[in-house]
Amino acid sequence: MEKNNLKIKNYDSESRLFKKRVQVIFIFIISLALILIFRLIDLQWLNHSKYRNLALANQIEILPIPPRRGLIYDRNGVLLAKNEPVYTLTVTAEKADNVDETIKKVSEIIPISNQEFAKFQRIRKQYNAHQAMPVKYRLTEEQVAKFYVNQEKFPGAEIQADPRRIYPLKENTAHIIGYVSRISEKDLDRVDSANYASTQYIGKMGVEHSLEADLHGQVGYKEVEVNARGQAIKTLNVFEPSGGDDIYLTIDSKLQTKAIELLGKNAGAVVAIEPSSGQILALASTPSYDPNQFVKGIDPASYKKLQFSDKHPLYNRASRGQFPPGSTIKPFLALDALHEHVIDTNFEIYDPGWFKLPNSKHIFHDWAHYGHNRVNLEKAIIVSCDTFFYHLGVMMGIDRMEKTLRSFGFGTDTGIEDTLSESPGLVPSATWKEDYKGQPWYKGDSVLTGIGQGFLLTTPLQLAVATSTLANHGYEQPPQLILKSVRSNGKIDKPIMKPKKLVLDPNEDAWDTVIPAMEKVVTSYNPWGTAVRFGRHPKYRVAAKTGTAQVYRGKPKTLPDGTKLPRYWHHSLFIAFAPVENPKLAVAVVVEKNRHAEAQVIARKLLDYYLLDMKHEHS
Amino acid sequence: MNTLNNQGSLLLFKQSIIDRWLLGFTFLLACCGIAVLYSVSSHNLRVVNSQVIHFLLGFTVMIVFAQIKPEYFYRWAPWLYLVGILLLLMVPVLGETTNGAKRWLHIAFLRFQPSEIMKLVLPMMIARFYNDKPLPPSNMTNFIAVCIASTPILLTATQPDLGTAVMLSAAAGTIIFLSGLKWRTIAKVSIAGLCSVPVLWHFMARYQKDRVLTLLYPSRDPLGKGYHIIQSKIALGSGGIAGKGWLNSTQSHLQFLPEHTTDFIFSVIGEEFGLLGGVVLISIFLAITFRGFQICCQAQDAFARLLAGGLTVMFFLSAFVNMGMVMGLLPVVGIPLPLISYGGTSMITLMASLGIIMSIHNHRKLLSH
Repeated sequence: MEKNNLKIKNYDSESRLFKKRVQVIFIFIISLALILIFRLIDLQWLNHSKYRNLALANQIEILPIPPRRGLIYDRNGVLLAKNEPVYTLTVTAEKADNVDETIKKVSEIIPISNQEFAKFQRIRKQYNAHQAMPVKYRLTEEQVAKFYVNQEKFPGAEIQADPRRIYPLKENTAHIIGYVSRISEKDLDRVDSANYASTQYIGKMGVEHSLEADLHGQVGYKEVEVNARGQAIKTLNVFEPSGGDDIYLTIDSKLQTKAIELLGKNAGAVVAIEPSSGQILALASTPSYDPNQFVKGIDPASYKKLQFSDKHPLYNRASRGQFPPGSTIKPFLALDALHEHVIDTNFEIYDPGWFKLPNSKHIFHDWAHYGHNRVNLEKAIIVSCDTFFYHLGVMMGIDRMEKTLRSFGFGTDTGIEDTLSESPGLVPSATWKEDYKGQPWYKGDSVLTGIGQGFLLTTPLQLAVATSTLANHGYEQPPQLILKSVRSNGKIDKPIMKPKKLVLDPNEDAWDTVIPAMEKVVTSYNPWGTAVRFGRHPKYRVAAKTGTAQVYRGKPKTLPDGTKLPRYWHHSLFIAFAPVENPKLAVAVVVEKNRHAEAQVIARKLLDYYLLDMKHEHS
Repeated sequence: MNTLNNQGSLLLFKQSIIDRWLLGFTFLLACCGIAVLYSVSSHNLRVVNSQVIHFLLGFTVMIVFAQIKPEYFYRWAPWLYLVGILLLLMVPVLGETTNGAKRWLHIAFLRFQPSEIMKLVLPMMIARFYNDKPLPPSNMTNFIAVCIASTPILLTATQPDLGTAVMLSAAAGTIIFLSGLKWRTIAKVSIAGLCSVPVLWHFMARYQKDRVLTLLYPSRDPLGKGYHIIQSKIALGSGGIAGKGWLNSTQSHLQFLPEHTTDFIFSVIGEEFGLLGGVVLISIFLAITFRGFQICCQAQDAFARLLAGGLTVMFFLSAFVNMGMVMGLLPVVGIPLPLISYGGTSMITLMASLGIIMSIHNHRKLLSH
């Protein structure tokens, strides 16, 4: 280094300057050290008695008080999620003379199984001496009473009363409300940990998850004097927590329960919407599960059973299930075909029972083997003529159909995705097929799209929203699940109702063809309306469309007696709204793997229940 | 590293190759740290053992660094600096996130904070930069030095790791000051700095603002951040003049501080050993600092003395900022108490920096004449 810039550098003057600077810094550092020492004198000498009092005789401990979690109600104030106390037996090492001795004594009046004891031995290392260690959960009222009578015999043992979430309607609302369960480290990362200082549960699914911030509330705390052994002597100050918001859902718990009951052992979904408001009255998915077991802490075996069951009970079919809509798509295509003058109401085809594209050998069959003879649009909807819609599919082309279906809300989630984690479904297009399948769009694809098969996928929720748009004569009222929330100070927040969206002009003549045709699906004997299992004579006017969704293509495997194996059975679908003149309810029903058009029966019973039995409750 | 060849191998025995003052004080501090750790960790021998291992590792690193000629540090400085910057740039991409900040890199079996390495490399780089410039430096020279310093400082601050960024700034600032920066320039920069406080405030992260506000009004948030400061002051204050005695602290026992083995260990020292213990500890830090300055005054070229000065000041300021934070004088920034707080990374970096200072001392004779 010595060789550097010898000519310009003046080592002596540099060295003198440097030493001066070092002196300055050293003086600076001495003064910093003096500041520290003065501060120590201030804290440890001058104010020693103040801090000694705080620390030794009467230490102040700040104890968080958890806020009350907001309740969840249905639209009529029926409780869907509530809080109830549960009792836990705990032992605090610091306060017990001998932890094992205390537990042994307690077990004389409150039985503690070997399993519980083994679990306690496993977890006790995680606790500090002053922390209460849980020994036995879910004590009965009787056990609690017995404990308090003999409490002085058990040094260090205490009973904690914690609120626990209860879902009174169990399976019936599981997919909507979801559940809370114990907070994990991961959960704590995404919330303010100070606010969750004494919170034990956090929403994991459904409304409990998506509205966690509103339901949780703000933590409170109290300052207590504790003696050197950590026992509370006196409460100095209490800052009350403010409870979470109570949430009212648009769900009608009676209708919801009815929907689950009607679905019964089937795997399927029912969505019922009030068309005028877009409020979801029922959103049922079966099979379901009991959310209460997640609050208690589900054991791994039961969880596996739920997770790997072939009917997937944890899965919300109503918002996440993606099904080919089948013939239920026909009224939507028909409306647009008339609107765009692709055809008019007099347009007729002859249906021999099959359809063939020019220059192609492939035959597309109608569901009716011998065909429907001459068919116009009205008849095509009433008898659900496939051949007619094969023609229409080709005449409209995929671009037209894609635009129509998207305008009715298919292919994208309906906008309450944060609550129900919706699937978007799928509305295919030529570019989509190019991108994902690497193949061009064939006319044959349009043929299949015309009857709601092929690549097209919709969720029951989307079908219900689209049906409600039909009921509103072209106005789409975005669906809504939250009715209002009531804050702990009584202030009521209503979610902003999303504005109506015009899909198709209500003055359009097309409506006068399609809606009456949908009515005749139910009532007409000649031609033979397809909704025969719905029943021909409901006590209200109803517009409906049946559907059957083919899941497996190709030749199905059959049993020796000629019947198909269940996994080749088709899904049964049904959409309807009623009363036609003043629609109160729009429903979409999907029943998986069902040969008996069960969806029609469910829809009928649900509409009867709502429009006839519950009439006085909502009029 | 044939540092002693030209003087004969006898020197190895005649003159100790490590500075016995620095070594002695370092050893003393580490022993105090381990004793306190035993108390704080509720007699947890596993914690104590791993701290002993950290110390032994750090000790080895110190001895090794003490053998390297300062000339090598001079030669390597630019390359080390470039590598350091590259590592810092990798952090946002490959870093591990803990407590919302990305500070750690995981390469092969090594897990480390590139910003810690910068604590050694940045002083080297700036000292080298000034070495061949005529001192006192021109404004242009200073400007370039500030640019060299601000790159790693900004990268560290955005991780965010404000504590380390402050330490890097302190080291860089010290070296620039020692190089002979004009007082007038210092005055101008200070005024500009004061004026930019509101602007800085605007750019600070939410949690950083919280910490400053909490320092000013601890009762603002008694459950969260203010709680640490309140409890830390209670621990210190209740210690009194003579302290409660080793293993007798009651405040740490109640687990009032989440970081009582690391950043807040001084509050336990204050509680158990009182004012006397605190003053003794501060004196040991001062003694190490004094020795560091002595060595830097005896060094014969600008590089060595600037490097020794920067490292020494950074060492003391780490201690000052940590203790100031525990006493409620400074905002809570994550800086451990040198050689006492539990943790391997800071132990090894600090021992390495002491090793560099020793090396400057050991090799001074070889440079003269």
